[in-house]
Amino acid sequence: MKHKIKVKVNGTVYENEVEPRLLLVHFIRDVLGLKGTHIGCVASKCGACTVIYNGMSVKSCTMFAVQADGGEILSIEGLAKNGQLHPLQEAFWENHALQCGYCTPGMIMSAYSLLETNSKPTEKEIRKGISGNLCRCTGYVNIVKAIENAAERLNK
Amino acid sequence: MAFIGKSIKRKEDLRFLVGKGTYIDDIELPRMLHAAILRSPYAHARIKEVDLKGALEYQGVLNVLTGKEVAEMSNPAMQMNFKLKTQNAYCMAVDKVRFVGEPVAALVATDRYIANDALDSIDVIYEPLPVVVDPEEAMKSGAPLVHEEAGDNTAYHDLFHYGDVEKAFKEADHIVKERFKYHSYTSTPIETNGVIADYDSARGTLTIWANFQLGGMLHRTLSDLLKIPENKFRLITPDIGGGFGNKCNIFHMLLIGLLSIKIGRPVKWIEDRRENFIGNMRGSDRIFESEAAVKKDGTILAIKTKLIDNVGAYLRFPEPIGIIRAFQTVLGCYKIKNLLMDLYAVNTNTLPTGPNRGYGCQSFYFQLERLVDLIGKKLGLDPVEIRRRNFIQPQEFPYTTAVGCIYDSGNFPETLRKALEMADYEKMRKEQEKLRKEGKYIGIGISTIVEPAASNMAEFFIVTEKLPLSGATEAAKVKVEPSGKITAAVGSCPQGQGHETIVAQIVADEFAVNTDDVYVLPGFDSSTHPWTTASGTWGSRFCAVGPDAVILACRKIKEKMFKIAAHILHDKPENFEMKDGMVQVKGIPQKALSLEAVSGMAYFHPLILPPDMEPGLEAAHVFNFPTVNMPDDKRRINLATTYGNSAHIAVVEVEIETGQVKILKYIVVSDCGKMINPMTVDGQIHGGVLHGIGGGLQEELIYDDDGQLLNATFVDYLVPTAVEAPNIEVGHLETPSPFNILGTKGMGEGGAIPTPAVLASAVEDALTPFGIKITEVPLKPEKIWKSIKSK
Amino acid sequence: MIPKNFEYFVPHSIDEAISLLEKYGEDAKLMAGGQSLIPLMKLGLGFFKNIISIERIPNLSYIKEIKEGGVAIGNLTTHSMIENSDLIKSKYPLLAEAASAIADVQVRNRGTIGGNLCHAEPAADYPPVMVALDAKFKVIGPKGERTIKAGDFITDIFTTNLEYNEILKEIILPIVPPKTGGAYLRLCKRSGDSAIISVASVITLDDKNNCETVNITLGAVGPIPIKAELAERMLLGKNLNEIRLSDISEKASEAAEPNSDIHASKEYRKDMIKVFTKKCLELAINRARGDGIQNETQN
Repeated sequence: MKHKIKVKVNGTVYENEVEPRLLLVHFIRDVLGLKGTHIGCVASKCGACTVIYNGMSVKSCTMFAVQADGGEILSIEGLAKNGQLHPLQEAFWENHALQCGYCTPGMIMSAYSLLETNSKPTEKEIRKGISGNLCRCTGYVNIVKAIENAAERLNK
Repeated sequence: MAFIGKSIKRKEDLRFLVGKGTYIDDIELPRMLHAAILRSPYAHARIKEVDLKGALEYQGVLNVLTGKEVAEMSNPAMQMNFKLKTQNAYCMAVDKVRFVGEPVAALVATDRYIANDALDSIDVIYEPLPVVVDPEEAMKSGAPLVHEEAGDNTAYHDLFHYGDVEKAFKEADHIVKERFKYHSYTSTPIETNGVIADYDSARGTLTIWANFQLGGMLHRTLSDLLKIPENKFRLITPDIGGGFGNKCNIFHMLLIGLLSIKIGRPVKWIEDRRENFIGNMRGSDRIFESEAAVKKDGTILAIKTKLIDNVGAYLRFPEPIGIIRAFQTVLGCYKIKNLLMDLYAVNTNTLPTGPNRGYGCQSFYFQLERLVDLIGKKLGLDPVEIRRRNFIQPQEFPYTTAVGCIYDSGNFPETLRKALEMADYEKMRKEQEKLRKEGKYIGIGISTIVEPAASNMAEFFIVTEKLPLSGATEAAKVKVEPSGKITAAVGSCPQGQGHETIVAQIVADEFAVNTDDVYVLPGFDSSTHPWTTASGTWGSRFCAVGPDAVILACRKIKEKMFKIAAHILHDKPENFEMKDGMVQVKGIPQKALSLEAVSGMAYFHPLILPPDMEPGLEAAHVFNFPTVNMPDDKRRINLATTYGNSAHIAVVEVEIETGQVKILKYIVVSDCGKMINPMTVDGQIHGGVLHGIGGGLQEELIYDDDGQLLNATFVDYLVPTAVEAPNIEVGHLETPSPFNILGTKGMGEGGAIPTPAVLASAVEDALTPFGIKITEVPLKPEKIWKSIKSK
Repeated sequence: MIPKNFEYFVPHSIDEAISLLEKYGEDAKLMAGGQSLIPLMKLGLGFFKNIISIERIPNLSYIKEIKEGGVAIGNLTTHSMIENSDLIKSKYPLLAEAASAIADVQVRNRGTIGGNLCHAEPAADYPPVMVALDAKFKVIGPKGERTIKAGDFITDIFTTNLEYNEILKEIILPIVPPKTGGAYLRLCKRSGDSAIISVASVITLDDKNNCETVNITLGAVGPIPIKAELAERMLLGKNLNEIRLSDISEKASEAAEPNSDIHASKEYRKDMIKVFTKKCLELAINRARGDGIQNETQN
């Protein structure tokens, strides 16, 4: 039996009827057409699907869309405002913190959440904060640098 | 040069940062269907029956595909195992399955959820057969035969002899003998494989979108195997979420292509991670029986190797090139003149192997660098000294190795010296002594390597005359548009290497414009991009062969532009140069025409052009690296194009209670010739090193005796997180290659190839008081704990 | 990667949830954050016909001091909340340590203590900590509430003392006497991986540094958490100067007969119990003495 859900994504409210088993990530990608959130694994380890749900970072592959009923989601597409990139996006760009770009949206959303809860994280805290996001291209070196850099920008 | 050599922000990044990249799963086509693949749960079994009735009746399922149909509709892929009378490598098992994960049937449905559900309704009856997983067991007589008609499981065997090994061993003062084991692991890009195939029966055309690394190289092969005329086959690679050699599998494209041909509608298939682990490819596991002949002064005279390479169930193209490729690095930085290699590729009931970042070189370096360390220990020489004594010296370049590789340039002593300086080596050794007395075990590992780039396709001649291939080519196309803006394209299929930026940097400098004025076509499209049959992004190749193709295409246009300007401004073409976006007489800024003016004339006003000049400003160039050659009668051949080098130093602490290894410092000094964008070079090194650390410490594909992969998800296959990843310090040298215009060398795999060896070296060094010798990877804590306990 | 279809229910009260459990019996499964359940379903390792999502039931997410002393935690309290709670960090640091060791931030933001305890995975982090703390669980069913001791809650792999129609409602942590210290340590491969072995210990000292009470519970080395009772007896009543922690941890390793698997052998696990019990006791003792040594968040 399908369920009616109402979800706000990047400021827009969507009303849909979905199967209970529809994963939130598939809802975001295939129903809403927002392709920036990615799928990289099957056992909830890679974090490429990370979005902000009700103010907290979550793995959208490990939630059903029905669980998000009445909730609010911020995905990568909602981060830049009026064409202005978020300091995290700027910092990732300037510090070469992405190569293939596939883990990047999830990584940035995790970093976004980290900086919301801890505005001056140490390197250790950054590494722990993004431990739910796997990257195979960068070795994380520049990602850590970018997050430190973004923190500085946000604290100005 | 305004842009070459500068670490500018990448042009391709914006779309990735805002979630607007176009990866394969982002593409939707009208009337597109979704495919799901049923895979064998057995490692070895006869297929008695495939009953698809349930699937065909399943609501939402539109069509199915069986192995029998595949064998009728397509040609089998070549296996260079010449004992096989029947080439039986199809994209689906026909009468027998040979590895867990081998496709047995496929279906298409209206959405991916239904397609997945419907797989349960396919009934397959198997007759299980005995399984062989260990390659040494597979070589024994009486072992289960993976391919019966071959008569045994040795898919490839050859003996290579360079120099005079017997003489060298007679002259040796010492022989060092050891057995090494290198394990199987895989680079797991975060994006899995995906294919969309669209067969248009009205046009007889097939278009395949796939995140595939070898577009140009395998375009013809794909069209042949799918029985589609090559000029009606279009292959498109969109943005690719990481490759590392793991996206070189043609079998998925064949399968989905056939489904689309059968149903006449677009079909999409996206691999899930578990499928990727059991059905894609893996790096091979290898056993080396090695001997080195050494003089008492440390000179290494010869190496003898017997290699057993477990290539899995099929000798999948391009195997056994994974072995031959390693000849590019088998002698490393050293002047070793004599080499004997007895090489076996063995079939077992495991996933077939393929290129895995480093492609064959990392295991050979494990052998070589471990031998060098062990030789040093035997002679009482520090690992730095033993290497110094065997280095090819800077004045000896270009240097031809015993196997025929022409190392173009390098300064190995300086690379090592710089790394030692960055590591504060002498201080670290003193620190080590002090800490040992406090019961803390720190170790320092050193490795020096040559990084080959862009294979010479003539390497296939080493294996067979039946594949006449040669060269190391790349193609580029440049167009100055009527507006003066510039468009460029190359045949690479980038997966994060930043080619849109690097090519723009080259073109911008050639035309003295800003990189903002240059648009590099993303991805690869066989219909719109220039390409050769070596094209793709693999084997660290781009900067070895790409820049020259781009530059020479630019210069063809510039030559034309200077002729046009000379004609209009009444001067000689040779007096012109590009300056600040203007076609200008050297030293006379007033005698200049804008790029827009010249291109405007070239397109809109051909009557103003010099007589007999072809209108337009567009040129292509195919570059073939000048030192590639054919094997000589002694089977010596230059197997690659450029040869970079690097030195890696790892400082580790081993916790002896638990066996856990912590990396305290990791230093790389890399020499990849002239760097176009140093920031992207560092990025490749960081990523490569972490791949090597993963492989060296914790990543391992674990098969049981039934051929089941026991760790087929990221829960149990241990990709390093940011917590395990160390900081990686990188230094550079730039000794340009004399064989291309800019002196650039290919790079990308170098970070990954010495890393397991250098970590083994560091751990062994840390545990010197326990007298432990390390001959295997990965360096799992329990293994280290066990070795310590046994002392 | 795609779960099989199921019916989905969202009760807004405990009573409603219990009625649904009664109605669907064995075919029902409670889900809170879904961080254990959903991956199982995606991997095809678990199939549930009727899923009852309890995350919309109000007033089940809290950490509060109770007037009898001690702290009550609602079953829907997430691992993030526990990890970051000043109250838990100061009074029950081992529980904060366990919470922060679970998976990663994203999973901790959704995963709940109730879900983790009821899933009863052998390598789970809360169970040994709950036993070491002598926690009590308030459980509610159609017949009303009952209290189960932590040590009696998990009975086998993935199996608890709960009846099919009962819901774990609240976790009660006892009062912390003065000079009490607790610690939780685990060995794992990477940050966020399941524990290969884990040790939770709580120790209370008297003024003379004699061990008044001690609890050493091992996790991930058997189907259920294992109290190392003989090791506890070696320490009980003794003065800290009289004992050797290495002897006690040796004894602790005898309490378990772990399995071998792809990540670690039985022999290695047994040795690691020794290593980690010693470290865990050292830390707990330091905290009991008020040495103020903080364990760095592991991994």
